[in-house]
Amino acid sequence: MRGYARSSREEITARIEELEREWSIEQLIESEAPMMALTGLGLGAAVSRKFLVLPAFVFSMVALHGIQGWYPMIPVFRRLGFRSRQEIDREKFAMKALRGDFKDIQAGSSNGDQSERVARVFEAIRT
Amino acid sequence: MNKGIKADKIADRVRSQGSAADNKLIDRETEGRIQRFAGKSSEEITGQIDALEREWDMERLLETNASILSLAGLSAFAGSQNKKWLILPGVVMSFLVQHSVQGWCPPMPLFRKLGVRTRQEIEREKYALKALRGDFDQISEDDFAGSEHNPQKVDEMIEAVKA
Repeated sequence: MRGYARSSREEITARIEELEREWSIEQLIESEAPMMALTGLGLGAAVSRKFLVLPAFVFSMVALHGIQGWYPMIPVFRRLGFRSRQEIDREKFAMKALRGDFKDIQAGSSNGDQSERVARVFEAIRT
Repeated sequence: MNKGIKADKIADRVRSQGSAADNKLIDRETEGRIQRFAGKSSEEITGQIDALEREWDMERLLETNASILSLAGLSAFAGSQNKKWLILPGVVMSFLVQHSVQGWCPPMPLFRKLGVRTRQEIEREKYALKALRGDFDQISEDDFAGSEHNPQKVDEMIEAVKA
């Protein structure tokens, strides 16, 4: 983030677009887990049922991730530099603040009229 | 004129693959909530921000749904020894990969109709509420993109995006 403090609006906008396209940990799990599970299912159907232990384990772990948030591969993914969508969006909104998207939000609130302020907030989160 | 929060330029696979009518309905509900909280106290806004962080997003729901369906298929196979049951987890998992790469999968349109939002949509409401709470006031005095480097401003900005 600090590296962008001196950047131009265009550079910040390009970074924001890059952040929106960044693969999150959730997306990575949704690709990695099915690959493991499908391999196990294939081997289980073709070679030996014992291989079905693998998809059973994968399904349980994905369910655990959905319900509780823990997943065994997360430490590995984090070491590879992957982040959750929330973390990516925190950087995105910091970039937006740096670009000046959130300036003047309070300016319209002095007369007690909220509609101008709400319109400014909508504008700030629209792009 | 208030143009709302519609944002087709934001890269969000679920929004671009889903129906525009569902996106619009979901946006309207979000706008209504932001509007309601504009007149409320910091404490009430903080309560709503906490609720947004706990809200179930599309990824969470799809992961839970897919894994439970797959486990059901696997259990049915274990009980019946009929290999056809393995088709169910095979199909479900293939759709989950499709969803992660491309955004669409069969249950997605149904969940959108039920109002399930993406994490990006939830985060946008959260940062709108943070702006209403005044979290960005400290740094909003200057438009400092491209202006002279000021390390204190960056610290204020990092502070503002913290929950």
